[in-house]
Amino acid sequence: MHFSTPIFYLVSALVIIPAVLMVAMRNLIYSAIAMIACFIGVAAVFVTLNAELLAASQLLIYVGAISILILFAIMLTRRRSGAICLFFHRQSWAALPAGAALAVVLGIVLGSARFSAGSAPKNPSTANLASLLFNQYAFPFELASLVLLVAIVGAVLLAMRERRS
Amino acid sequence: MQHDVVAIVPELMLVAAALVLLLIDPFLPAKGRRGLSWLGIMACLPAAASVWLARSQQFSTFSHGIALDGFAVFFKILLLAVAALAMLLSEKHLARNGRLLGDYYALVLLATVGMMVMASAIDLATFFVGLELMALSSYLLAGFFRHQLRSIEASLKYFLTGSFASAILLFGMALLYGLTGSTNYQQISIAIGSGSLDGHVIVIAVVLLLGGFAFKVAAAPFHGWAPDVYQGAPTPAAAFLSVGPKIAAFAAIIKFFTIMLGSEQARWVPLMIVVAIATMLIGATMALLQHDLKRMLAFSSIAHVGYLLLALIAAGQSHSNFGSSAILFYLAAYAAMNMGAFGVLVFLANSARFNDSLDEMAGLARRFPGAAGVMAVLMFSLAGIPPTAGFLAKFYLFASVVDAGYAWLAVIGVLFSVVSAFYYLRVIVYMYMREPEPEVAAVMEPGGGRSWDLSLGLGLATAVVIVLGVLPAPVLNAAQDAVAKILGS
Amino acid sequence: MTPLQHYLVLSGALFSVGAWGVLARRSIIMVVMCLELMFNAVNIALVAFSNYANAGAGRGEVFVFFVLAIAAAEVAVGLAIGIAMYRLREKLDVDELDEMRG
Repeated sequence: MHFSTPIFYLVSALVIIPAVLMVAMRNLIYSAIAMIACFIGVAAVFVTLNAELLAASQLLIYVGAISILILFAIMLTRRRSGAICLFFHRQSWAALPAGAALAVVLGIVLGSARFSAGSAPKNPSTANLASLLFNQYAFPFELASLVLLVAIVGAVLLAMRERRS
Repeated sequence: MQHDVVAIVPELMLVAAALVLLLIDPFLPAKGRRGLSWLGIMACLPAAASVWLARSQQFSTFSHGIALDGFAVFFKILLLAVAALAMLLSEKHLARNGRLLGDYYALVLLATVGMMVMASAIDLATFFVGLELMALSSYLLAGFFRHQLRSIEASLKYFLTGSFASAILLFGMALLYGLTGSTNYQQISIAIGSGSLDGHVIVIAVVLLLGGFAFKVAAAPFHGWAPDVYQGAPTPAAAFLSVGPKIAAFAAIIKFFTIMLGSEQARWVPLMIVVAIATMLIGATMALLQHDLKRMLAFSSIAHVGYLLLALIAAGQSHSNFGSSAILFYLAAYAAMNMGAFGVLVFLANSARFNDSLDEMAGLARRFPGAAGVMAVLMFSLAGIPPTAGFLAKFYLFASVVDAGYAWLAVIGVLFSVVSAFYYLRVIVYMYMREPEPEVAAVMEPGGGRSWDLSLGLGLATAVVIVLGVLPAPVLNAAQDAVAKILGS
Repeated sequence: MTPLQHYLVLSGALFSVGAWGVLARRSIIMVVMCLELMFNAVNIALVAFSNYANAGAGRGEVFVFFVLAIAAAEVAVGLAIGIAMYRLREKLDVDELDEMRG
């Protein structure tokens, strides 16, 4: 599909605006919802980059699983005051200038970068991706399952309620 | 495919052992858990043997994702030794704290698998997955004593800084991929070496990679997490965490900075010099102020990372392999002496009510002459006093720095090393020449739980420290060999 | 046709917003959410590179699969640690991590 620049700006707004709102809001649940909006925006970005399979994965994993996990954590750790959390860190005065500086530097360097790539987008098919994933990158694929195993072990080790005997 | 699997036999053995540990642990009665560490240790030995048998191989497998070369052989054997030692040191301590679970050893084994992958990877994706496997296992090991606030805090701090670092590293790797169109180290190295890529983007990638790795090895200015994490984590876990991740990270750093970015030294060497000096400064001076021994050892680790970075500069600058082989030898020596030092703290914590403080070391030689003797040897080695491994490691390292034309940096390094000798020797002074304080003296009860696993581990570590100091040739030659044969260099 | 660089600027901006959040916010769950923003930013860059590349097309997308899986595992571990902390302390506050002092 051929996407034009206005669509890019639309999708970018869907990514950046919820992200900034998420960081700036005090209520954790509102922030989580902004985060979900941002993730949907990222999925839209993937669609404009001809990566439909990734867009679907993004929705499934980030919106469908990670966001739910975070919402559960927010609800399980709520204090009586609700989900409002204190905002400023002791050293947070440096964070905004640092973040802004980083954005400016990255924006300037990456925005004017010269890449040897052509500017015509390719369209790797799902078959292509599968071939790469299961042939070339088979070893990290298997290893990733161990990472997920560690996550499960961690959840049981640290978060599971212990039986009172 | 059969050819490919040979390269990962040690990893497969460790994974199998980890899975067995995880599966049988819930079915064991509480008493039946003693000796579980030996399941893990017994997996490390054949794994090391299989690596040794393959030591003359030189090929890359899994579509050039993993290399089996001299470099990988050296690091895998070193990491397996570290893992075995970590498991030897830990059982009694876990039991005394009510957390003797097979999961601990499974996490150590899985972390070691991650580290071995990090050291032998020649592809960005493989490296990243290995890195995260190590990292997540490490966060959990730090927080293993979940009922102790300091352990959970340590785990949380480690997680927050470590994940931040992973994200930064990942962005740097993404830029490397974007610039070169490949995730394979060798192809990236060729593409960057051609000099036709956008220099500014390379600089950004360098800064991001350097920043991410600096977090991971606790180099300045991102060293802040290490003292808290090593202090709060269970002491045997701290032993493992202070050594393993650094070894794996340096293996990767050597590949990233001297192979992939080898032609771009002008971009990263100046920055690295600043980082190295700051790291040595902080490590040497802050350790003097610490009264908690684990924090002192943390700052001591930071200082050692500073020296290693000096050798990295030498490796990047010169075209001989002197600097890189110095790093490998130093890592081997550092592993033995640092784990030994933490091991003595584990022994003391098992034998009495011990709060890891320097004051409690007063008069130790009278109560626990064996432990004091071991600690003395290790302190001498960390300070770099002959005839220990630490001395030879530093000597070789500073020689490589001078050889690369950075004599002034070597002088600075030696000066900091002399300063840090003070806090190592202070421990020895306390142990042998101080009377124990009456209030503190009552706390130590000699003859408490003796664990022969722990004694074996301490004995081995001390033996390595002494033997390497007197007969460095085998390991030194292995290090030189390993570096000469890195695939793709 | 939007040039590659536009996508990279978007990625850099999102990365910076995430980094700001990690450094500025006090709640641990908030920091975890901002870390996810950073990972998403890298994903955008990877897919953009993969799409526009001559050589190596498709590899970026495969790399993103790995990042997705690992980010999920990371969130799980982070929240497990956070829950364990909450049980001990009844709050999840980065500034409260002061059990150990220099």
